[in-house]
Amino acid sequence: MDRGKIGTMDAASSFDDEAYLDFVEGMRVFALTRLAPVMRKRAAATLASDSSTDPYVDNLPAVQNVLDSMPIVGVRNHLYRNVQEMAWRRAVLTRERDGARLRQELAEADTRGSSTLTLNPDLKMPHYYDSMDVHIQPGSYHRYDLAGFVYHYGSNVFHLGENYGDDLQSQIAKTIPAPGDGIVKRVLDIGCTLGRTTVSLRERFQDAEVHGIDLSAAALRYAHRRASSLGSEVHFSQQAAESMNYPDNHFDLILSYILFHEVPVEVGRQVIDEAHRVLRPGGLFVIVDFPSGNPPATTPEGLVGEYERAFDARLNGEPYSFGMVRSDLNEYLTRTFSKTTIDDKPFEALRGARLRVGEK
Amino acid sequence: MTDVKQFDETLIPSPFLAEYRGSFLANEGRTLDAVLRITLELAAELWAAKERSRMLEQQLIKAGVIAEDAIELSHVTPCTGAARRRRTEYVDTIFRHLLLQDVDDPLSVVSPEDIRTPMHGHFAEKVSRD
Repeated sequence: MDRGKIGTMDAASSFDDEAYLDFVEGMRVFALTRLAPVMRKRAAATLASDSSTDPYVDNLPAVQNVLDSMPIVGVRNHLYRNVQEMAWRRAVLTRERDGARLRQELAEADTRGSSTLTLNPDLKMPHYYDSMDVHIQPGSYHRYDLAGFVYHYGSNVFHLGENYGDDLQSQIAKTIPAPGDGIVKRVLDIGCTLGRTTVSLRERFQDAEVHGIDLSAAALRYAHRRASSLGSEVHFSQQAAESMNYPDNHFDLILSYILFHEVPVEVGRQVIDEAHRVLRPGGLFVIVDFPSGNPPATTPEGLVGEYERAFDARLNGEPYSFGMVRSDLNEYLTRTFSKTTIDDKPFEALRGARLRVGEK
Repeated sequence: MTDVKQFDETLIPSPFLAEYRGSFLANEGRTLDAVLRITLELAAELWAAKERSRMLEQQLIKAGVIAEDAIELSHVTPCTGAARRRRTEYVDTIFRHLLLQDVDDPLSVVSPEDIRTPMHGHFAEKVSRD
């Protein structure tokens, strides 16, 4: 049943599905705001009870050996994983209940609307991408035709019920810097998935041609349908950020929002090179993503943080995030671009992220 | 009566409880069997409640009290304000035991931080399209 929209998100297909996912969201609120702080405190106390943390530094297996056996850690891990599984499973089921309508709408939207969609059926999915399910979403972003619908709902649960509209994406688009000369004719959003930041960039740069690229055809079809329904004029294209088909010096501004922690470090470097190639001199490459260049933690609290990051890598479909926060991303960006700004403070709109800007 | 001498780690007095809380799950294998049995019983009772609710809705529609899709087209998302607080307290009431705390403090059930996600910063301005 078409139950309308919640923000810019399609509502669940039944009242029961919506209520179920509402409960799951509540469980995630509990896991993040009640359980995790208690777990962190006790886990850090356990590590601190040793005479020295030296044996744990840069030795994740040793930390895991201690913390995995703690009951409170087990409960935390169970809830984080199981809540995620519950959210995806029900999100898939609720979309399938109305699958015929959603598939028909996607098909009708593919060639119509205010936005454009260019898919490349011959694009070979990179192994790093195709070999896993991102965030353990069943079928990942690209092996299930309704993945865009599923991801939007799942991400709302993940963001504790505050991602059904585009407030976050709009805030990011509004607060990132623009080229100093004020010229913004072409904007590119790489790894755009559902095209939410793409649409928000178009709202900010209303005279610019705004493009969004992603590997997933399913995500782009959803992005295109969504953007068109909002009356936004943007252009979606199925491409890999590390190998784009745009000419040199083409864009004035490129945004990468939470892409780098989803790709291996070496691919991240290729993305930086490629962004540099397609930016015009004076153009900006803006990265909003996890911090990087983090040295191995030495405090009990830092070690617990690394343990949690590694849990996400191991059991929550983010296998590259641990490498990314340790990586030389900032250094590589600085070497590649003529001028770089790295802000190590939490990014205002998304506290876990940092803002990096490279000027060509 | 639990012999609290066996549970040194629990000897933290609660401001609300007359007795100390002990660990009662030493024999976890049998306990998990029992927890699963309880889960099945709860699922069966929940199913009965769901069927009764569905039947009630049908009767209300048949009697002309509510429109055909009145319930189905209602929304509980987004869960904000009083509804979010109510949900937080519900989840916390049932699952607070997972915190494995020795002190069960009723006043810790709902905190202001529960109202919005810790992942987001405070937006400088309202940017909703609505």
